[in-house]
Amino acid sequence: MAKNVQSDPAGPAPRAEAGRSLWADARRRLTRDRFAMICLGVIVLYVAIAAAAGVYELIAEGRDDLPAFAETDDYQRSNQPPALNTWDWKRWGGTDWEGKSVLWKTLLGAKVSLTVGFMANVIAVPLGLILGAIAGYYGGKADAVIVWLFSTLMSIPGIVLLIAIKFAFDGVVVAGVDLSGIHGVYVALGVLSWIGTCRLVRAETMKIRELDYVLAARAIGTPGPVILFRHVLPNVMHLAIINFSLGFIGAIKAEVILSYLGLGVGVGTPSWGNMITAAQLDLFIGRWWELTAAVVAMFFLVLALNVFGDRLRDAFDPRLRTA
Amino acid sequence: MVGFVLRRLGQSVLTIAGVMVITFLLFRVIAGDIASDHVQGGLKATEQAKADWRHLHGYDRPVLVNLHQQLLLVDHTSGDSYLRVEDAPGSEATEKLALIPSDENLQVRMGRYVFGLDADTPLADLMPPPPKKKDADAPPPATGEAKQPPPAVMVVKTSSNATFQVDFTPARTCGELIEMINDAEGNRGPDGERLVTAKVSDLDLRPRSILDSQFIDHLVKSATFQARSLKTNEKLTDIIVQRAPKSLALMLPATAIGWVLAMIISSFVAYYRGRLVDKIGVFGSVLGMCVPFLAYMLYGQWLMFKIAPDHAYGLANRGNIYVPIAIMVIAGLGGSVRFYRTVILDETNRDYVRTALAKGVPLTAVLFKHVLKNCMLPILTNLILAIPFLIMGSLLVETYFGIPGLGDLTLTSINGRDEPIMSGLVLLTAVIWTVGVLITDLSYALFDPRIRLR
Repeated sequence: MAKNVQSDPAGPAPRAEAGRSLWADARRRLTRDRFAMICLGVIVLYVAIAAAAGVYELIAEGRDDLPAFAETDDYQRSNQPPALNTWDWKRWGGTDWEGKSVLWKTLLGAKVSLTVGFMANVIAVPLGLILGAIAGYYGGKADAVIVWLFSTLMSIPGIVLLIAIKFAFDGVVVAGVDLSGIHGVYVALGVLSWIGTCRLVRAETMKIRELDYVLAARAIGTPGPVILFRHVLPNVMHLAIINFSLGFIGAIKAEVILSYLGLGVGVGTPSWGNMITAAQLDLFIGRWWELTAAVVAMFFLVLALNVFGDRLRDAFDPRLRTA
Repeated sequence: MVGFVLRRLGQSVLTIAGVMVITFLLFRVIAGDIASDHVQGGLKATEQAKADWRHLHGYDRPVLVNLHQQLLLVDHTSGDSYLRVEDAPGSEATEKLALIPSDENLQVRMGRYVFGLDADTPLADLMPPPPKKKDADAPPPATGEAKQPPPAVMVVKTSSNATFQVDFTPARTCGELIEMINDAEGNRGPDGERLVTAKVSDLDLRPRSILDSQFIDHLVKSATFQARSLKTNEKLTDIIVQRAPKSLALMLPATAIGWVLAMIISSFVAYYRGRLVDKIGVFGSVLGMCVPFLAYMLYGQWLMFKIAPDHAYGLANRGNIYVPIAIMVIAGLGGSVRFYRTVILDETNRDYVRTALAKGVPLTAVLFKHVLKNCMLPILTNLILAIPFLIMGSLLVETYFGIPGLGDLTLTSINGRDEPIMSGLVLLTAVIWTVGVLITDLSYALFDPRIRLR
C-alpha cells in the first residue's frame, strides 16, 4: 500500500504551508518569551556555578596549593559580618562560626540543591511517565493497581512519609549505596514525587487512546506495547518535561526541610538546608548573613524554575493556543 | 448511584489497607531492630535486655505468618519454683541464644523463631542478627589464626531446684544442641528419668496461633486504634484527645483567615484580569510562593522576638499563637491566590457567561448567581482536603514554635522511634483524608450526573 502511494504519478500534494511540530512550536514560543529566557538564563547560571564548584572541589582535593572548602576553617575570623570594601571576594558574604566564607558556602550549596532536584526527578519522572502511560492505555486491572498505589501514597502527608522513609533508611545499605545520607534523599524524593506526573500522563493517555490514529494502528495489528511506546508516549512526553522542570522546586524545598530536621545531606556538607539550620539561632544575636544568603540564593533559583516551568507549560499546552 | 457509592467505598477501604501495609513496611521491616532505642543503655544494652524488650512488645514474633518454630526447654520435675536458665560465669550463652523466660514457668524459649526448624538447622540461625554496622571503615576482625569462640555454658535450674550445666560451645546445629542438653550429665533424676527435655516446638496450626505474627498484630492494633506509646505506655487515643485541641487552635484560624483573604484577593485580581492590578497580584503571589517556608518561620519568630520577647515561643501566653497563625496565613497566601484566580478565570471564560452577558443579564447577577455557584465545587474540594491538616497540625511550625500539638508529636515519635504512635498518626491522617476525598467524590456525583455515569 505504502509503495503505491509513493509511486502515485501525481506525486504528493505540495503543502500550502509547512506545519510546525509541537516541539518546534513550543521552542519558538519559548525563545520569543523574553521573561522565560531570562529565567532560563538564571537557571543556567546556577547550573554553571554548581558545576564549577564541583569541578573546583575535585581539583582542590588532590592539590596542596588550592584550598578545598572543607579546609578553610579560620577561627580567628569567625562570625564576621559581610564586608564589601575589600577585594577579597570571600569576605563579601561574611563568615560563619568556623570562619568559612558564607558566599562560597552558598555557591557550593547550589550544587547540592541542583543535584537533589535532578536525581529525584531522574527517578520520579520516568517512573510516573511509564506507570501513567500503562495505567491510561491498558486500563482495567493495571489501572486499578496503579491508581490504588498513588491514592494510597497520596493519603499520607508527603512530609511525614518523606521523614519516615528517610528515618527508615538510617543505616540501610542497598547495592553498596548508603541510603542514610544524600543518596537516601534522592531515593526518598524519587519514589514519592512521581504521583503528579503519573496522574497527568494517565489522563492524557486515556484521551489519546481514543484517537483515530491509535485505532488505525490497532486495526493493522500493531502490538499494544509498540503502540504505547512508539505512538502514544511521544505525545505525552511534553508533560514529562514540564514536570521535570516543576519537580525541581519540590525537591529543592524538600532538601532544605529534611536538612533542617537533620535527615538530609550529612552535617558539614555545604547545603542551603544545613546553612539555614546552622544559622537559625544566629538571627537573635544579630548574625543575619548566613541565613539570608541561603534564603536569597534559594529564592531566586525557585523563582526562576517556577516562572520557567509555567512558561514551558503554556508553550506546550495546545488549549492555550487560540487564546 | 448505589453502584458508584459501593465502588468508591471499596476503593477507600483498599486505600486504608494500603496505608497500613506501608506503615508496617516502613516502621517495622525497613526500620529493623528498634530494641536498642527503647532499652536502658541504648546500643550498649545487653542482648538479654533487648531480647526481653522484644518479647514484651511482641517484636520477636514472625513477621508475616506464624509458621515458625523455636527451640524449647521443657521441665518435667514440676516443683514449686520456675525453670530458669542462666549464663555460667564468663560464658556467652544468653547472647548466643537470646534465652527468653516464658510465662508458663515450665518452659524456656531459646533463640529466635526460625522457619522450618529441624535438627540440621545451623545454630547461627537461632542467634539474634548482629547489630547494624554504622561505620563501614571499622577495622576488619583480625584474621590469621582462627579465633577461639567464647565458651557457651548455660546453667539450668529446674523447678525442683536441681541444677546442672550444659556446655554447648562446639554445637553447630540445633540437633547437636538438643542432644547435648538431653544427654547432659546432670540431666538425670534419681530414677534415671530426664529432668528437662529440649525439643523443637510443635507447629501450632490453630488459627489463633498462625495469625500471631507482627503483621496481623499491627493490622488489628491499627484498625482498632489500640496502640500504646512504647515510651510512656499512654494510649494513642488519650494522647490525641489531649493534643488535638492545640493543633486545632493553630490550624483552624490559620486556614479560615487564609481562605477568606485568598478569596477576596483572588476575586479582586480576577475581576481586573489582564490589567496592571492583575499582573502585580499574580507576580506577588509567585514571589510569595518562592520564599522558603523556613524563612517565613525564622524571620517571623525573630520579628516577634524584637517586638515582644515573651510571646515568641511556647504557649505560656495567650498571644503566642498569633505569630504562627500569621506565618501560616502569609506563607500559604501566594499559592491559594493563584489557585483561586485560575478557578475563577476558568469559569468566567466559559461560553455561558458570554451568552448571559450578551442577552443582557446584569454583570452582578452573572457573577454571583452563575459563576460563584460553579466555582464552589473546586473551592469546597480544596477546603475539605485541608481538614486532615486541621487536626494533624503543621509539623514544622509546631516544632519550631513549641506548640505541643499532633504535628509536634509526629516528629517526636519518629525521632524517638515510637512505632505504634507513628503508625497510628499516619493512619489517622490517611483515614481523615480518604473520608474527605470520598465525601467530595460522592457530592460531585450527586450534583454532576456526568461523573456517576462514567
